[in-house]
Amino acid sequence: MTEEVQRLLDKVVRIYLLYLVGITIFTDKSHNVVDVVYLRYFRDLDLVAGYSWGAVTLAHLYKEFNNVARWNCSQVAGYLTLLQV
Amino acid sequence: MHDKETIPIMASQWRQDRLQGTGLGWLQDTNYNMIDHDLICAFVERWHEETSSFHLPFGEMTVTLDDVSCLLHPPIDDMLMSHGFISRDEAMEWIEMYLGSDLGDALLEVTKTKGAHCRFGYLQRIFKDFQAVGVEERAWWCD
Repeated sequence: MTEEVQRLLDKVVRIYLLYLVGITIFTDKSHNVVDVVYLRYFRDLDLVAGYSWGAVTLAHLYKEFNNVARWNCSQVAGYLTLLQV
Repeated sequence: MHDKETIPIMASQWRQDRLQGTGLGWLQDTNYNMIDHDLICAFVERWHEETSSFHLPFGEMTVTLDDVSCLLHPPIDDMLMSHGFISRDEAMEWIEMYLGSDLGDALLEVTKTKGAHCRFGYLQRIFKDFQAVGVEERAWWCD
Protein backbone atom coordinates (compact mmCIF):
# COMPACT_ATOMS: atom_id res chain seq x y z
CA MET A 1 0.00 0.00 0.00
CA THR A 2 1.50 3.29 -0.99
CA GLU A 3 2.10 5.91 1.64
CA GLU A 4 -0.31 8.35 0.02
CA VAL A 5 -3.21 5.89 0.06
CA GLN A 6 -2.38 4.99 3.65
CA ARG A 7 -2.60 8.65 4.64
CA LEU A 8 -5.99 9.01 2.95
CA LEU A 9 -7.32 5.95 4.72
CA ASP A 10 -6.10 7.27 8.06
CA LYS A 11 -8.08 10.44 7.44
CA VAL A 12 -11.26 8.41 6.87
CA VAL A 13 -10.69 6.59 10.16
CA ARG A 14 -10.04 9.89 11.95
CA ILE A 15 -13.30 11.38 10.65
CA TYR A 16 -15.19 8.32 11.84
CA LEU A 17 -13.48 8.36 15.26
CA LEU A 18 -14.14 12.06 15.81
CA TYR A 19 -17.79 11.53 14.95
CA LEU A 20 -17.99 8.44 17.17
CA VAL A 21 -16.57 10.14 20.28
CA GLY A 22 -18.74 13.17 19.53
CA ILE A 23 -21.98 11.22 19.63
CA THR A 24 -21.07 9.03 22.61
CA ILE A 25 -18.40 10.15 25.10
CA PHE A 26 -18.20 13.88 24.45
CA THR A 27 -21.80 14.77 23.75
CA ASP A 28 -22.69 18.37 24.29
CA LYS A 29 -26.02 20.02 24.66
CA SER A 30 -26.40 21.09 21.08
CA HIS A 31 -26.19 17.44 19.91
CA ASN A 32 -24.92 18.90 16.70
CA VAL A 33 -21.21 19.64 17.01
CA VAL A 34 -18.00 18.06 18.28
CA ASP A 35 -14.97 19.88 19.68
CA VAL A 36 -12.03 19.70 17.29
CA VAL A 37 -9.60 19.54 20.22
CA TYR A 38 -10.08 15.75 20.38
CA LEU A 39 -8.26 15.45 17.06
CA ARG A 40 -5.14 15.89 19.19
CA TYR A 41 -5.50 12.27 20.29
CA PHE A 42 -6.07 10.98 16.77
CA ARG A 43 -2.92 12.46 15.28
CA ASP A 44 -1.16 9.13 15.36
CA LEU A 45 -3.73 6.36 15.13
CA ASP A 46 -1.30 3.87 16.65
CA LEU A 47 -1.22 5.86 19.88
CA VAL A 48 -4.99 6.21 20.34
CA ALA A 49 -5.15 2.99 22.33
CA GLY A 50 -2.60 4.36 24.80
CA TYR A 51 -5.01 6.90 26.27
CA SER A 52 -7.26 6.34 29.22
CA TRP A 53 -10.62 6.72 27.48
CA GLY A 54 -12.55 5.37 30.46
CA ALA A 55 -11.19 8.04 32.77
CA VAL A 56 -11.96 10.85 30.36
CA THR A 57 -15.52 9.56 29.85
CA LEU A 58 -16.13 9.76 33.59
CA ALA A 59 -14.39 13.12 33.92
CA HIS A 60 -16.58 14.56 31.18
CA LEU A 61 -19.73 13.22 32.86
CA TYR A 62 -18.74 14.75 36.21
CA LYS A 63 -17.97 18.06 34.55
CA GLU A 64 -21.35 18.16 32.85
CA PHE A 65 -23.14 17.34 36.12
CA ASN A 66 -21.26 20.17 37.81
CA ASN A 67 -22.34 22.55 35.06
CA VAL A 68 -25.95 21.61 35.59
CA ALA A 69 -25.74 21.91 39.36
CA ARG A 70 -23.90 25.22 39.31
CA TRP A 71 -25.62 27.17 36.57
CA ASN A 72 -29.09 25.84 37.00
CA CYS A 73 -29.18 24.67 33.42
CA SER A 74 -32.21 22.96 32.02
CA GLN A 75 -30.29 20.39 30.03
CA VAL A 76 -27.53 17.94 30.76
CA ALA A 77 -24.96 16.40 28.43
CA GLY A 78 -22.45 13.61 28.83
CA TYR A 79 -22.60 9.89 28.48
CA LEU A 80 -25.88 9.43 30.30
CA THR A 81 -26.23 5.81 29.34
CA LEU A 82 -23.77 5.16 32.17
CA LEU A 83 -26.20 6.62 34.63
CA GLN A 84 -29.13 4.66 33.35
CA VAL A 85 -27.66 1.19 33.69
CA MET B 1 -23.35 8.27 10.24
CA HIS B 2 -23.37 5.83 13.13
CA ASP B 3 -26.40 4.15 11.65
CA LYS B 4 -27.55 1.52 9.23
CA GLU B 5 -26.05 3.38 6.32
CA THR B 6 -22.50 3.80 7.60
CA ILE B 7 -21.91 0.66 9.57
CA PRO B 8 -21.71 -1.50 6.42
CA ILE B 9 -19.13 0.94 5.06
CA MET B 10 -17.05 0.77 8.22
CA ALA B 11 -17.64 -2.97 8.29
CA SER B 12 -15.02 -3.54 5.62
CA GLN B 13 -12.38 -5.72 7.14
CA TRP B 14 -9.50 -3.32 6.71
CA ARG B 15 -11.27 -0.48 8.49
CA GLN B 16 -12.51 -2.64 11.30
CA ASP B 17 -8.96 -3.83 11.94
CA ARG B 18 -7.71 -0.27 12.01
CA LEU B 19 -10.56 0.81 14.29
CA GLN B 20 -10.13 -2.02 16.75
CA GLY B 21 -6.41 -1.23 16.71
CA THR B 22 -7.15 2.24 18.05
CA GLY B 23 -8.82 0.72 21.11
CA LEU B 24 -12.07 2.61 20.47
CA GLY B 25 -13.90 -0.10 18.58
CA TRP B 26 -16.10 -0.72 21.63
CA LEU B 27 -17.76 2.66 21.05
CA GLN B 28 -19.49 1.27 17.97
CA ASP B 29 -21.26 -1.34 20.03
CA THR B 30 -22.74 1.16 22.46
CA ASN B 31 -25.91 3.09 21.89
CA TYR B 32 -27.26 6.34 23.16
CA ASN B 33 -30.91 5.77 23.89
CA MET B 34 -32.58 7.95 26.45
CA ILE B 35 -34.40 5.40 28.52
CA ASP B 36 -36.02 7.49 31.20
CA HIS B 37 -35.92 11.25 31.22
CA ASP B 38 -37.37 11.60 34.73
CA LEU B 39 -34.81 9.22 36.18
CA ILE B 40 -31.96 11.38 34.85
CA CYS B 41 -33.62 14.53 36.20
CA ALA B 42 -34.06 12.98 39.62
CA PHE B 43 -30.41 11.99 39.77
CA VAL B 44 -29.09 15.29 38.48
CA GLU B 45 -31.12 17.25 41.03
CA ARG B 46 -29.33 15.34 43.77
CA TRP B 47 -25.82 15.85 42.41
CA HIS B 48 -23.35 17.53 44.75
CA GLU B 49 -20.33 19.13 43.22
CA GLU B 50 -18.18 19.04 46.35
CA THR B 51 -18.27 15.26 46.63
CA SER B 52 -19.04 14.42 42.99
CA SER B 53 -21.82 12.14 44.13
CA PHE B 54 -25.58 11.84 44.34
CA HIS B 55 -27.08 12.39 47.79
CA LEU B 56 -29.95 9.98 48.13
CA PRO B 57 -32.20 9.29 51.13
CA PHE B 58 -30.23 6.17 51.97
CA GLY B 59 -26.77 7.69 51.54
CA GLU B 60 -24.36 8.67 48.81
CA MET B 61 -23.99 7.10 45.44
CA THR B 62 -21.86 7.86 42.39
CA VAL B 63 -20.69 6.56 39.05
CA THR B 64 -17.18 5.20 39.54
CA LEU B 65 -14.34 4.40 37.20
CA ASP B 66 -14.99 0.76 37.96
CA ASP B 67 -18.54 1.14 36.61
CA VAL B 68 -17.24 2.69 33.42
CA SER B 69 -14.71 -0.07 33.04
CA CYS B 70 -17.22 -2.87 33.64
CA LEU B 71 -19.94 -1.45 31.42
CA LEU B 72 -17.93 -0.21 28.46
CA HIS B 73 -14.51 -1.87 28.74
CA PRO B 74 -12.44 1.13 27.64
CA PRO B 75 -8.77 1.41 28.57
CA ILE B 76 -8.64 3.02 32.03
CA ASP B 77 -5.08 2.72 33.25
CA ASP B 78 -3.12 4.28 30.43
CA MET B 79 -2.00 7.82 29.71
CA LEU B 80 -4.31 10.47 31.07
CA MET B 81 -5.70 12.92 28.55
CA SER B 82 -5.20 16.56 29.13
CA HIS B 83 -6.19 19.36 26.82
CA GLY B 84 -7.29 22.94 27.10
CA PHE B 85 -9.17 24.98 24.60
CA ILE B 86 -7.80 25.55 21.14
CA SER B 87 -8.17 28.65 19.03
CA ARG B 88 -10.20 28.77 15.82
CA ASP B 89 -7.01 29.08 13.78
CA GLU B 90 -5.57 25.96 15.36
CA ALA B 91 -8.86 24.16 14.81
CA MET B 92 -8.84 25.08 11.14
CA GLU B 93 -5.28 23.89 10.77
CA TRP B 94 -6.12 20.55 12.40
CA ILE B 95 -9.26 20.02 10.34
CA GLU B 96 -7.21 20.61 7.22
CA MET B 97 -4.26 18.48 8.25
CA TYR B 98 -5.92 15.52 9.94
CA LEU B 99 -9.28 15.27 8.19
CA GLY B 100 -8.14 16.34 4.75
CA SER B 101 -10.58 19.23 4.30
CA ASP B 102 -9.68 22.39 2.50
CA LEU B 103 -9.22 25.62 4.43
CA GLY B 104 -12.41 27.18 3.10
CA ASP B 105 -14.53 24.35 4.53
CA ALA B 106 -12.63 24.51 7.82
CA LEU B 107 -13.23 28.24 8.05
CA LEU B 108 -16.94 27.72 7.41
CA GLU B 109 -17.13 25.16 10.23
CA VAL B 110 -15.45 27.32 12.88
CA THR B 111 -17.52 30.32 11.80
CA LYS B 112 -20.83 28.49 11.81
CA THR B 113 -20.17 26.85 15.19
CA LYS B 114 -18.62 30.00 16.67
CA GLY B 115 -15.63 28.13 18.10
CA ALA B 116 -13.23 25.25 17.58
CA HIS B 117 -16.01 22.87 16.65
CA CYS B 118 -17.14 20.80 13.75
CA ARG B 119 -20.70 19.91 12.82
CA PHE B 120 -21.70 16.25 12.59
CA GLY B 121 -23.36 16.97 9.27
CA TYR B 122 -20.04 18.15 7.88
CA LEU B 123 -18.21 15.06 9.13
CA GLN B 124 -20.85 12.89 7.47
CA ARG B 125 -20.44 14.76 4.24
CA ILE B 126 -16.65 14.46 4.03
CA PHE B 127 -16.90 10.81 5.07
CA LYS B 128 -19.18 10.18 2.11
CA ASP B 129 -16.91 12.20 -0.19
CA PHE B 130 -14.08 9.86 0.67
CA GLN B 131 -16.32 6.95 -0.31
CA ALA B 132 -17.03 8.60 -3.62
CA VAL B 133 -13.31 8.88 -4.37
CA GLY B 134 -13.05 5.14 -3.87
CA VAL B 135 -10.07 5.18 -1.50
CA GLU B 136 -10.98 1.71 -0.31
CA GLU B 137 -10.76 0.18 -3.76
CA ARG B 138 -7.42 1.82 -4.43
CA ALA B 139 -6.06 0.44 -1.17
CA TRP B 140 -7.38 -2.99 -2.03
CA TRP B 141 -5.77 -2.81 -5.43
CA CYS B 142 -2.42 -1.69 -4.02
CA ASP B 143 -2.34 -4.50 -1.49
